[in-house]
Amino acid sequence: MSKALMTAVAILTLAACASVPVSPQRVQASEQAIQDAVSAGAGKDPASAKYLELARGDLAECKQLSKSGETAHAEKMLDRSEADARLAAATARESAAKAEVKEAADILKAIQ
Amino acid sequence: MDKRLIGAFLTAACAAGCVTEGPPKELIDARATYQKVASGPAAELNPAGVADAKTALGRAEKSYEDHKYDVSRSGDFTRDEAYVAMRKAQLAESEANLVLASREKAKLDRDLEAAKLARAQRDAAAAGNTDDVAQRLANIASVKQEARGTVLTLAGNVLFATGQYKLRDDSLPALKQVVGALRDMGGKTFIVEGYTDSTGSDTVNRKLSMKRATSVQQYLIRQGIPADQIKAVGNGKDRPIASNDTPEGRAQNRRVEIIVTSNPS
Repeated sequence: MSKALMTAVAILTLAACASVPVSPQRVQASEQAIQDAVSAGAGKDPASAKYLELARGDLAECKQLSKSGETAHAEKMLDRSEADARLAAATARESAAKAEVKEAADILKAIQ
Repeated sequence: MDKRLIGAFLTAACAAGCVTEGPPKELIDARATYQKVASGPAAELNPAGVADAKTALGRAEKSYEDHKYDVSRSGDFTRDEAYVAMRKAQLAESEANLVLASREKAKLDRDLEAAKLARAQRDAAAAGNTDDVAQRLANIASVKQEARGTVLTLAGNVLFATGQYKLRDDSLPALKQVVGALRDMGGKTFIVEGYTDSTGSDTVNRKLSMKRATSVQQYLIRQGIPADQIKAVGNGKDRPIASNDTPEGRAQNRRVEIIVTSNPS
């Protein structure tokens, strides 16, 4: 195979790779994770609000990168977005549970 | 040393410095966070979460090792892998904290139920006690339930001679019964208020009512009512309970009231 042909094949292969977008199912899963976090109350306390914002930012960046053909990087941003969203949901639940503990402790103190 | 040799040495040293560059901040943070979480309550309460974080950290470490000597950093996602690993460690910790909070809440709920029951029993006992005491007091003085508490009114002429504030000796048996009843009302506070009729100057009346209230207060303290539960107030001719135009009304207004209230606690 001539050097020119090899180069052409290499360029075409790269172009083919770059044109594969991020799987819509994966994007959808990240969006769902963000939605779950919101349903869990994320955004009501500072910690969960921070992670929720990061999750949304990462998802937006993923879409941008996917459009520019940077699929591998875009997928990493999806991983980050999902991890942020799951943490946002967990911290929201933790914060609500701690608030309930404080309320119960206050009531107990008042009654004793 | 030859100048070219020095130059080559410096270039090599720089290159070596570049390729042995330490791990990215994200990986350092992820390692520290994982260590903290894995040695905390999450190890016992959320082993699956900790294991997940460990796997993610392992991926980040592998990515770092794979690209450690790759100057181009092409396809190096160590920072992203480390970022995800750190979040998973934080997630494991947060989930463990949720378990801890739920356990604490369950314990508080149990304590709360027990406290409510104890309080209801205490209140019921106190109510029974108060009713009994009120009945006994009604025999020696007038007793009324008002917003400010149980008000026990003692006639001034029974307690004191005209213009005097020293307790009459013949009033002491009745007062002793009052003390007995008050002493049984554990957990209460008492305010002794002295009143006069409207005859005479305000200043004299106020002083006299104060001295009479104090006489009763001191007597009650001597009989064993705790001093910090009882205070005396002189109200003079204020708040008459009958007309000051008739001798009978004025006699009613010359009085000492003992107000019994529940302790704030």
